[in-house]
Amino acid sequence: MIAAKDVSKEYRTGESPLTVLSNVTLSVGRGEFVAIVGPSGSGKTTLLSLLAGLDTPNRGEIVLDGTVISTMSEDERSRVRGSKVGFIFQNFQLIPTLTARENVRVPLDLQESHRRSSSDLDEIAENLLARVGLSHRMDHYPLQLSGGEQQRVAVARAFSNNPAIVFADEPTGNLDSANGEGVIELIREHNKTSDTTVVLVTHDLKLAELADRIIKIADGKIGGEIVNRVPNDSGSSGTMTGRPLIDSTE
Amino acid sequence: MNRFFKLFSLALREGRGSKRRLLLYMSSIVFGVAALVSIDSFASNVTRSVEDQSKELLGGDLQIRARQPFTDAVNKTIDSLATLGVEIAHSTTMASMVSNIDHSKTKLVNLVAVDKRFPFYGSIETEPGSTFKLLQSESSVAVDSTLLRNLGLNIGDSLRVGNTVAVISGILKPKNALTGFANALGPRVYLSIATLNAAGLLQFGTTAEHSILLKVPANISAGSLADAIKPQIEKENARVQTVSQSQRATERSLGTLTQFIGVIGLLALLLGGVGVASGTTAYISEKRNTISVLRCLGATYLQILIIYITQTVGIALVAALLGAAVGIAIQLALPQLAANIVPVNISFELSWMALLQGIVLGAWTALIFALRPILEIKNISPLAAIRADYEISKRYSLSISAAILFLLISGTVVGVSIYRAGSIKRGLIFAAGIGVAALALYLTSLLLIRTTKLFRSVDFRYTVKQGLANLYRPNNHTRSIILSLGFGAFLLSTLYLTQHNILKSISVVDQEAAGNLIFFDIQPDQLDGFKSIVNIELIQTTPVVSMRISSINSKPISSYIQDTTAANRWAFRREYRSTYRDSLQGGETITSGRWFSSVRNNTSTQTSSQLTRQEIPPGEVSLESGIAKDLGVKLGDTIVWDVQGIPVTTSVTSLREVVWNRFEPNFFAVFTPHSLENAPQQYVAVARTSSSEATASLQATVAERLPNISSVDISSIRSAIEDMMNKVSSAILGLAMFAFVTGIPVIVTAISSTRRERVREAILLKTLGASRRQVRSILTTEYTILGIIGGTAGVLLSTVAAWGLLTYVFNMQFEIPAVHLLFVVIIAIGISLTTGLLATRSVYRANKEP
Repeated sequence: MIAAKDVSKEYRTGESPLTVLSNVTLSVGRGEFVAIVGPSGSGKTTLLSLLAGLDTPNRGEIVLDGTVISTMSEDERSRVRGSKVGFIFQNFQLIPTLTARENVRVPLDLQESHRRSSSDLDEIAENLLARVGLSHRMDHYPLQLSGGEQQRVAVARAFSNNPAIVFADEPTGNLDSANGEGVIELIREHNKTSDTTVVLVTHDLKLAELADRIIKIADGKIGGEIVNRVPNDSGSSGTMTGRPLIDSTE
Repeated sequence: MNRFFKLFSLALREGRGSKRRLLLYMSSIVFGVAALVSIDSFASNVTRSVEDQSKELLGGDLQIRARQPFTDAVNKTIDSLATLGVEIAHSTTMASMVSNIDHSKTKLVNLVAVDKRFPFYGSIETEPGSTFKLLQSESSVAVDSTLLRNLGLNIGDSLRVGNTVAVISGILKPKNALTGFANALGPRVYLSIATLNAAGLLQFGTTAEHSILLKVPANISAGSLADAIKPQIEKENARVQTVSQSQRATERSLGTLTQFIGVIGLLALLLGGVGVASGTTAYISEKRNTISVLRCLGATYLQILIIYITQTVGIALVAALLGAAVGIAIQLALPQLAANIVPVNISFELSWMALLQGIVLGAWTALIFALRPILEIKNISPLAAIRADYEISKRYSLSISAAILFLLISGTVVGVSIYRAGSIKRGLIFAAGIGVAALALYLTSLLLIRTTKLFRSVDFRYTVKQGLANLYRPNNHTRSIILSLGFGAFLLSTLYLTQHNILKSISVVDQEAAGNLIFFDIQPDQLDGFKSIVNIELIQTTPVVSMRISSINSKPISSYIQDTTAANRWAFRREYRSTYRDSLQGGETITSGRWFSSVRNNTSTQTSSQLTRQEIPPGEVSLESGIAKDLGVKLGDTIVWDVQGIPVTTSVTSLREVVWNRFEPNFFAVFTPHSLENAPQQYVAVARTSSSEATASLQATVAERLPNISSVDISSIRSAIEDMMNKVSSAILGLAMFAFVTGIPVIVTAISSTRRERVREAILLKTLGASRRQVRSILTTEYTILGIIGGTAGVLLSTVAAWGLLTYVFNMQFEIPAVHLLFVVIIAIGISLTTGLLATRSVYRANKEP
């Protein structure tokens, strides 16, 4: 579904370049639920931004659904995100001036290709909100919702354009454990039912355990990988490659 | 569903929570549009009122005017029109002294003597209503109420007019009183022609305007009749004026006024644009997170542009509509303010054109000024949605878009200036003026930024240092605040400097003048009697001889009149009131040639006894340099003058520069001594009195003994000019304040655009132990400096502008009233500091990030 091939990313801080990612290669299959874990500053958010086409690498390439996106222009990458990518952010990132229903609709409103009517779009949003248990909060604004509710709206929004892949950046970071588990459950459920690939970035190992595969990143390099189960129809296993995860994270 | 409609509706939904804030950011455009709409619709109401009332202003379809009694030829021409059904009414207007019955109080007035048919259109409204009719049946007058106040009289009292006494039968309603300056010099008094004749004021050579009003039957075109009689009338030194000519003349003089204040309206609009630019920057900065989320969710740059341009245009339209409403409200008040300066009754009617123009121009200005910060959206990365600390980087250079925007803005300024000025040249001059002022203020702000950077290493107190640092911080608003404060100070101080110097020059004239009282229309046989009355207070008596030019260098004047442009025609056709003397006056300097030599006087000029009806040998004449230029005359040229029928040949031997605004009789043409002594003439006399009581007493004595002699007291002229200037300038200063006040929303929005960074810094400073007072004093330093620099830059610019205006347009001395200019700077500091501190209250109170 998505692959990073020998990707490096540097930022300029003053005179000297700072290497954040160095020769990272990984691939995530369709329907797979992958967690990228690593400590603060390890480069996991940079890796997510490159995979999602929010940024471009200095070297290497990113291939999303068979298309090289790392050489695309910003607007081309935007279009790719609009049609194939969903996002769940740590701080929810709902648009404060839109209601829950309208927030869920945004990716559909931005799509230039389809010709669905406004009521169709509302219906899609309402169904998604019903799936995340928020039928009664559709016309509420983000500020009128609890953190857990906001993140559930964000989950509904991430899946509204029927994406091929959803990126979740610390989706439980601002939630208590009960709400956090609920949100992960929802993501997991969508992952299973719609065959959507999920890439979860977290520093929470407990959360990562829920993924099919865990990719550990440290100092800008892939430090190891744990396969918890083979996604969907592929059965499950507990294979570990590279250095053991437990040894290298904390 | 149409994809644009979807975006449009997303734009509306996304913007709904921010409407009020965006409207606040756009509020500066409200002031601009309000100024534009009120000025334009006022101008359109004035034009319409002039159109409606121009027949009434003239009183007939045609008017024939002359400075001397009409010749037989003119009367014959007019009489012949009676067969066509043309009706005729006579009137005579002159300045004269009137007094109360015991001569204790006198006043120079504007006498209008009319016959019973005057006027054909409109009516002279009086209180009581029958007054005007009574003028013809008895010796009575209808007067302006100010005259009653001046002389302490009431309706029913007697008024001395020349040799006669008339009863004041009523007062003129404001509509028929003279307006402004004319009224201040001499209130109007209506009387019958019979009463004027009884007064014995019309003597040979008296300054009076004789007029015949014509009412043309409906089947004859007034314009073609005017064309038909013009050659005969003009040959007799009279002028024909039609309603449309009088209308054009009124519109022209009002046009200049409305164009001038229209300039202020446009400036207020442009300042509004600067405010919109800051406001939009603040708005986009607040929307940065939403924009980055939208980009994450797949929005393209174009889609985001559409969303935010839709919101901006929508709110700009609302702001423009609000501005239009405020403009209409102001417009309702303007006729009251303008009643004293405009010669027509202005009725209020909504001018849709002015309204539409104001709204469209306002919304367009808001859009072009908002575009730059909106285009900066390109620099907002989707990465900001996942990295809270991600700062906007200038990843994309907007130089091409910026250049296009610059062209759009300058194109708008030039286009609108030309459109409003009504001429390409004036429009370009005005646009260039704005450009130069804006550039100068921009460079000042850059200089300020550079200079404060130099102070980085100087060991100031921390709060001062940080306040200075705020001026050159990233995304600082130094430029927009300097621009808006500077423009406000510039306008206010230019108007003040101009007014100050004009008033100053009048008071200089007052101090330097040899006398303070001028008497005119003194007949030769009255001279001895007059001198004995005025006695030691008399400084100077000057003979005045009326004449016209009959030929220049042997070419008859009529051929010059045909060949020349309308602007100069006046110089050839006018009546010259000239004098003769052997020395230059204080206000005169010879610019070329030489003053009359006594030797030449004796040889080449005729003695008085020789001035007879035969042509006399060439004498000498000294011309004022301006009129010589208009006539196209140079040294050595020969001019033959028609001195009331007698040809007098002169050679131009010198050209003089004349300071016209000195309080003394000045002349275009000065002849060699004695050459005109026997010509029909009058005298003008200058006297100096020691007190206002002495002035009043002297005026009263002269008015009693020699009633045809009028006098003007310099202090009355000065107070009239001051009064008029105050009325005009208070209206204009009010509008200039508009421009200054526009600076307030500019500052508020500029501050909002950096609020996020400021709050973050304030919290950091407080965390590190800074007190609220310290945070406030950082801001105080910043806004005081902005006020000082903005105000000073504006005042300096205005000094250059006012110097140019006074030196080249008004030909006056220029002086700088430093203390008053300091006051303008203090206003700028006050606005900057008050607005700055009020708008940043939340910053120094902040305990958590917004």
